[in-house]
Amino acid sequence: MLNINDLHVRVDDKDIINGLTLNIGAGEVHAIMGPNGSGKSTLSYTLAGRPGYEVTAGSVTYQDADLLDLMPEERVAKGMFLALQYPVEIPGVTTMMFLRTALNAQRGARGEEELNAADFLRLVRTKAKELDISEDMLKRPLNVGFSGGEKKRAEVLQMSLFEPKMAILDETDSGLDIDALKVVAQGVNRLRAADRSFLIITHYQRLLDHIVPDFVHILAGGRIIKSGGKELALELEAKGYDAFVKDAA
Amino acid sequence: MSPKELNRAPEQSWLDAFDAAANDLPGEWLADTRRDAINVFREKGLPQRRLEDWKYTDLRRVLGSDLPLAVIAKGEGADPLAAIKGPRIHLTNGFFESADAMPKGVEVVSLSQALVGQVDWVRKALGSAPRPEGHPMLALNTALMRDGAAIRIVKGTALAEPIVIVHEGQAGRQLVRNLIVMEEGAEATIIEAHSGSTDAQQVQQTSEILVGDNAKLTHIRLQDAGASSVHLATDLVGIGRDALYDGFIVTTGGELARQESHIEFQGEGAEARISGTYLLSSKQHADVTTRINHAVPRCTSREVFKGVITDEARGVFQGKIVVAKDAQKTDGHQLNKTLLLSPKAEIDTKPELEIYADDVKCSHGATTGQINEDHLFYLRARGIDEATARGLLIHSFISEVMAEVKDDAIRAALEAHVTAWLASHAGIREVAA
Ligand SMILES: Nc1ncnc2c1ncn2[C@@H]1O[C@H](COP(=O)(O)OP(=O)(O)OP(=O)(O)O)[C@@H](O)[C@H]1O
Ligand SMILES: [Mg+2]
Repeated sequence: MLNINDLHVRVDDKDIINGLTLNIGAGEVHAIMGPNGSGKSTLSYTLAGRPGYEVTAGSVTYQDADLLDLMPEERVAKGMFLALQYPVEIPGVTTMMFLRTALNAQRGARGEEELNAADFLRLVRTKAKELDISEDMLKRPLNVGFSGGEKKRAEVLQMSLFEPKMAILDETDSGLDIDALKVVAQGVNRLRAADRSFLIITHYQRLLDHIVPDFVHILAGGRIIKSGGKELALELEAKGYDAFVKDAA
Repeated sequence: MSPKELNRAPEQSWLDAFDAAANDLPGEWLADTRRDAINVFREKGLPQRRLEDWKYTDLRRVLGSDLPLAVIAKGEGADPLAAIKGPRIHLTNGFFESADAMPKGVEVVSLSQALVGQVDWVRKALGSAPRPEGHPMLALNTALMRDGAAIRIVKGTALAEPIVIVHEGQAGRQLVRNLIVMEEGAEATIIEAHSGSTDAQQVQQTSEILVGDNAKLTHIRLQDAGASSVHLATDLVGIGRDALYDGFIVTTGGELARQESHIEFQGEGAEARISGTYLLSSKQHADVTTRINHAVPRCTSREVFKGVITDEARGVFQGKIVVAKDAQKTDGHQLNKTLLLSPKAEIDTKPELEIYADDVKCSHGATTGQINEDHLFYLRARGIDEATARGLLIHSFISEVMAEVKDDAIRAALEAHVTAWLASHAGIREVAA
């Protein structure tokens, strides 16, 4: 599904990702854990195509295409989705209008028919209910005045509407209360499928109790220093990052 | 030719125009007023950029050129806000051309006829709106005013439909004076739509607006004058006790435009709203200057102007709120935000509070910026292409201020104008809601 090979990324003249290799197969769930500032969000922005994230070496192949050649919106149309660590607030654009514009843009780019207003409304209502998101929130400007947890849930709502093939969740669990964490995890698990992959960035082993990963990677200093199965997260919880960073050095 | 003539001051053509026209200007009883006014203009001259109020807008450069006074002409049927229903008043080249039948409780007359004839309410109201002292352009307008629309909404009358003044400019110097008299408890919406040919013209319009006690006036202006126009609109507004003046101005026209609103509270408990948007492209220059004078206690003012500027255009916003010593419990709020779409686009913004009372609530703010790159990326990361995403963000920026227009039909008509402007000047496709 996604093959990242010896990736180097520079932001504002600063090298942040330094030779990162990661292969994600169809249907797999990978978790990335790593200390603050290790480059997790930088990796996710690079994969989403954010301007200013300069790839200085390496390659990324996504579904047999050169991902780095594609515009952000083209990546999305091909099924890539990034739930942001810090979703932005956009006053003046209502959540509902945004969701419909986005969904129909993606469908249009794939040559699929656009959803009419009634079908769209039905779809959003169903998905919103699954995630405990109120109608009132959907009427408000995009993310404006949403609490931290509401913003994260809104990101998951988008994911469940767009049904991506490769979903990257950047600390979607941060800021969620215990109940919301379960709701969000259920949202992810509901989407798990043989042709859909996940890359889950998190600081907390707790999330991985709910979304059980196939692989866990430790990212430090812009590269993956250790990979393993789900038990690696437990080991990390017990020992802390330092032990692994020292081992790798 | 004497050296003096060779080196004529830019004021001279105006003084000459006055001398030539003085005997034909309507209203003999006004002759002294006109003469006093032209003397004020002679003394002050066209505004200098050295003057604080005129720092950013240079009239001497554009108004010095010789251009004959406009002549009476027939309109070509312009009506940029045709979608809005309501009786029309047509002013062509600054002259009152025609008016539809008006509902009961409304009187409409051509100013020139009223000045020549005996229309008592016009005589009484003319010159009575609060005004800044020694304002050279106001003086020039008083000296040379030739025609315009005088509208009276009789005490207690509430209008169901707006009255629309359609201003069509064709050529020349157009010196217009309008009068809007809202008697006690009257309620009306008056819309002005300015458009015109691309021929050179200089429009100088002054409107005296008297909002009586308990009256409510919604005053909308669309200024879409021709591309070679200098367009100066000065509104002098006096607001009575518990009354409301609700103004909204859309500026897209003219080579150089200045909208001045001088608003003064004359009775307690009143409210003024003055908002709008300026959308500027190519080398346009547009100036919005407002003065809200809280002269009495317990009044509320709210002001929101948002603009989008592209190419090499330049915007100016000067907003001043003055709160007099006795004007306790004043509530004044002012905001100016501008989106610059090109590196050469420019805005000079100067919000000012001058407060002499101690028990007041006043705020002001101004921001200027480009499209937010984080917002743009977020929309693209959801599959929305860049052009559409920009359009969405610009629309959302403007829609916030359009919400100040309370009437749905009027807002829709103005939004259609804004959308068309964005499509043709900023390459923004219409965004499906
Ligand atoms: N625009 C930028 N200019 C310079 N440095 C940057 C920029 N963006 C990120 N960095 C730096 O890159 C490093 C990695 O940042 P990144 O946001 O990827 O970390 P992270 O692993 O997601 O951290 P966290 O766990 O706190 O979210 C940090 O040291 C950060 O300060
Ligand atoms: Mg991060």
